[in-house]
Amino acid sequence: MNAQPSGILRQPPRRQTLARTLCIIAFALGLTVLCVLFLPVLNGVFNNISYTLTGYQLLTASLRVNSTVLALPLSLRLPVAGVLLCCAAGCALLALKKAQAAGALYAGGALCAVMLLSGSAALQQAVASAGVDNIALTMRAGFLLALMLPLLAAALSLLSTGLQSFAKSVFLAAACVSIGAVALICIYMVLQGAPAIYQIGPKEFLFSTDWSPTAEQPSYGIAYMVLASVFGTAGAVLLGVPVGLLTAVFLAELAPRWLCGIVRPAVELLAGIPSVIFGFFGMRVIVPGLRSLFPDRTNGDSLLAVILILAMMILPTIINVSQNALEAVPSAYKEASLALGNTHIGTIFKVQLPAAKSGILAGVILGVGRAIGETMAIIMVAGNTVSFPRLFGAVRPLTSGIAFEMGYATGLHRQALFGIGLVLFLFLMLINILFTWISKKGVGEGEK
Amino acid sequence: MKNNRHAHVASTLTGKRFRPKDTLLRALIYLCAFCTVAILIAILGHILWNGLPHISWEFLTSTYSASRTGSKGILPMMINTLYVVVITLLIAVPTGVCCAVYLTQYAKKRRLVRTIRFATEVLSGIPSIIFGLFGYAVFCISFQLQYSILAGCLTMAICILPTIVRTTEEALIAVPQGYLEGAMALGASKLRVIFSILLPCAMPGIATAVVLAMGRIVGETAALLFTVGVSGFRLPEEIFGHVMGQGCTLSLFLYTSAMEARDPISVPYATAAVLLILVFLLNRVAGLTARALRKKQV
Amino acid sequence: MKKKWLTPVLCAVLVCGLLLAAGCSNSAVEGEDLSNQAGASTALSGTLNLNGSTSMAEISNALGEAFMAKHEGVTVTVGGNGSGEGPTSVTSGTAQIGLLSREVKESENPDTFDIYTIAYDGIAMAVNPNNPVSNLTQEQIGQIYTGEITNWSEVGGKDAKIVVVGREEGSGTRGAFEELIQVNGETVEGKCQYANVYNSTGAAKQAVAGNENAIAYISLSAVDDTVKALQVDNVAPSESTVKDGSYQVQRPFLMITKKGTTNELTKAFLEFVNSDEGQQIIAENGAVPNQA
Repeated sequence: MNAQPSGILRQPPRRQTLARTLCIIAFALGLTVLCVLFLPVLNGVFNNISYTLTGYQLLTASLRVNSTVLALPLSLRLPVAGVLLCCAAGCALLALKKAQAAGALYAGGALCAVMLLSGSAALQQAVASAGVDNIALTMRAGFLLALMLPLLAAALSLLSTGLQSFAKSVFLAAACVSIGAVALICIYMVLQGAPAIYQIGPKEFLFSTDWSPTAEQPSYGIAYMVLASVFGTAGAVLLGVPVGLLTAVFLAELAPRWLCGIVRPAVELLAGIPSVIFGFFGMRVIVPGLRSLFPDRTNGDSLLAVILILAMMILPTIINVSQNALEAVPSAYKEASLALGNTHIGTIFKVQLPAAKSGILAGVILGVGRAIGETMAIIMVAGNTVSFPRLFGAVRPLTSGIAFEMGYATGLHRQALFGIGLVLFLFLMLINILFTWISKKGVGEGEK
Repeated sequence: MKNNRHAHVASTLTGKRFRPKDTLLRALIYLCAFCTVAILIAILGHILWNGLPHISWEFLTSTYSASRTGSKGILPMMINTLYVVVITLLIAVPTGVCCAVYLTQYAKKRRLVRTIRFATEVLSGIPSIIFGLFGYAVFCISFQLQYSILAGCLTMAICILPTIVRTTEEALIAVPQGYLEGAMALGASKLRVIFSILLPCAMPGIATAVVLAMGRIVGETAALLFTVGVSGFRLPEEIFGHVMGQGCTLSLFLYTSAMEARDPISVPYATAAVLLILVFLLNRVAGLTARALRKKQV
Repeated sequence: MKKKWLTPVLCAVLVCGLLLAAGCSNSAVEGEDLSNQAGASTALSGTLNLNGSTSMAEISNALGEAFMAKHEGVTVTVGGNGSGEGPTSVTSGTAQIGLLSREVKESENPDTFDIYTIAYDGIAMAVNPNNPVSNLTQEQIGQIYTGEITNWSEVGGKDAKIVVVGREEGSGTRGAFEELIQVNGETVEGKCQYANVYNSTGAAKQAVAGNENAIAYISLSAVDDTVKALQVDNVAPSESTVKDGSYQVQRPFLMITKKGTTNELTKAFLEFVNSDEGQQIIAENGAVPNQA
């Protein structure tokens, strides 16, 4: 562990020189980004006429297409300005010897360069609406430079503060990706869904029962879909929780080792089966089965089929969490109960299960979250008509409502589907918060 | 069993109150466990019974044509699934591992750690259809990727990020603190400790997480339905260019084939059987990797 | 000390100056015409995307495959979840050709498209082969779908509840069906009550094949021996009755493009579809070619 490349950074006199060199290179790179103004960034071929735009033209000019003058969309201009400003600010900060902040700004500049992609999408839409149908957009060398140079400058300026803090910044950036992803999802869902809900009217959206988005007078009421989701999940819980709980009891308490060795892997296998396969099984076995069992009352695709499939799917979740909760109950409880004369079964039901209550509840809520969010399996067995959910009638839960119509929905209809997604998202976040709160409470109780 | 003796003693002391109820409950418990196993056998049995006979070498290696008389093979779908798995892992695993390293090794500010953990929890609770919608709005429309494998991979990467972060964190925490302290006492820098001691020790856990994530990616449909599209049945013409085109994966193909019912029913059954076998193989490999790597350490 | 501040200030001034200068000028960029460039290849190449009706998927796939066999560098992809997707994907540019199995609605701005009728297709009323009913009038069909007739015995069948199966809202088959069938002089559009809804022809067909009391409307080209196609007003659906118009429940298969498109590939494909070979492929797949 002696002479390593990173050893250079550990020798004090050399370190400063290296750091300064890196700073100067990063500074130079930041200034070089200015040349993006003069290099071709975007090349578009519209109806066999080729347009090449440099960075400067992206900021200032407009296009003459089909004898109309088309202004470049703002989402194309802003990123270019953003890249330049960020790099300039980064250079300034480097000169002020604030290398870390400079690195962050350079990274921001690279992010702006990525935003250029969405700007080019907007340009394509604008050109398409101007009547051109042969559109081919390619990014040129200038774009690559605008992307690579700030990234390199960021890396170098962070490196100049030392390998350790460079690594820390990289790890921090990775950690912030998950925050960024959640923030982005929230923003997008709200941006896409909220305007629709606002336009339709929250009261009508949530409580009206008429879902006919393609009629002459479209109406978007998701009440029946919400009810279908709620009934389906409730039924799945009613069916799945007792079976799952008792199976967990079996695994934790009653099973001899050889039987455990059969049931445990079975539960894990069940947990690993993809949801399409559940749906396919439902479509080929459960639906015809229901049809032949109750020929007069159902066509097979029904709420009952949805409930059965969902119950099967949440079974492994409930079994796993309940088993963990039961095994976490201190054996002192069990021994005390047995010493007081209780039977084994009595101990389980009167002492151990109540003690594991909050863990089991957390598992149920996890299962509920999974059941509400399930799409593929239920779209294959639900029948997909929007009507009041009857046990033997076809239903359309929220998730399959989105998946079913997403392909052909346009305009307000499509935004309404995003609105449904938003409702689902908020619902699930609520359940998530409930889950976190209950498991915290459970830890508190367990410690008592 | 000892418990039975307790039970017998208890019942003689307290009378015969508990016995019939006990036996009933015991029978109920056994019945439920039996039900769980029966469900698994029913699903596996039905799919494999109807699907295995139709899996032939020709089925696995020929291309797919949607017309009535065309060949019905799933080679393009398997290649597409491979693309999706590899690229998603390439994106998600480094990000997830770095995030977990930050959470366990660096994070000092409680607030930041709590926010990151909360964000990861929220991500893991979001249903895949919302990821699909989000991926469609951001990657396919805003970034103009249209229906492409790349858009699907980016969406899936966000989807499995929480799993990888959580499992890696557990693996990192399980590394004995003594190893790390000893290395630092010997003068190693933090970065060196992470790369030569922490990560290699946690490798079994990380490898298991990766293989489990692969199982999840292979089985995922809703997140890919709107981002990868269901019409990509061509074999890749260029290795890297294929990423920008449509590519129907195995699970998506099972969904469309079953729902549109244009192919003879043997095709979705065989696809389902292949998918099941693949997922189970991956889970088995995960278990074996964990065991093998753990043995190597000891 | 002054020197330290010089660099950042110079930087900032430079960039701000550039941006200001940028804001002041406002030139329009002209493009360079490539169509006269020497060396432009004459062979067709590229990707052609067709999007829209699922009823037309088989025909479009067959046409696409034949076209690809003729032209090496061309890829034709066929996708879509219903005729509703056809106009939207052509407008947004994700597809060059839209497929519809019904007329373009007013709300979809038919003037922005060039519409080509490539075939006619009958809409068959499919029931289970074990269903004794073999003929229905259009009025009866309408009454079944609006819920006025609920039992097969009312139309001459067994005493069993009719299970009404249909397609999803964006479906061209559904759109065409609901506009053609009338009850008391009014179309059943918006009045149908479905027991089950599916988003493809194949799934609707499967539902009927699996249930003795189900009825569904499917594309005539999709009828095979798992279902029975009813006679409507005593006319049996077949290619000849569709062609001479005696089987009235029929709709056109349309291919639409952006109005005045100059895309070489699109024009070549449409030419191919209208050629003898294309028309034969259409006939082989169960629809009635337009030119024949």
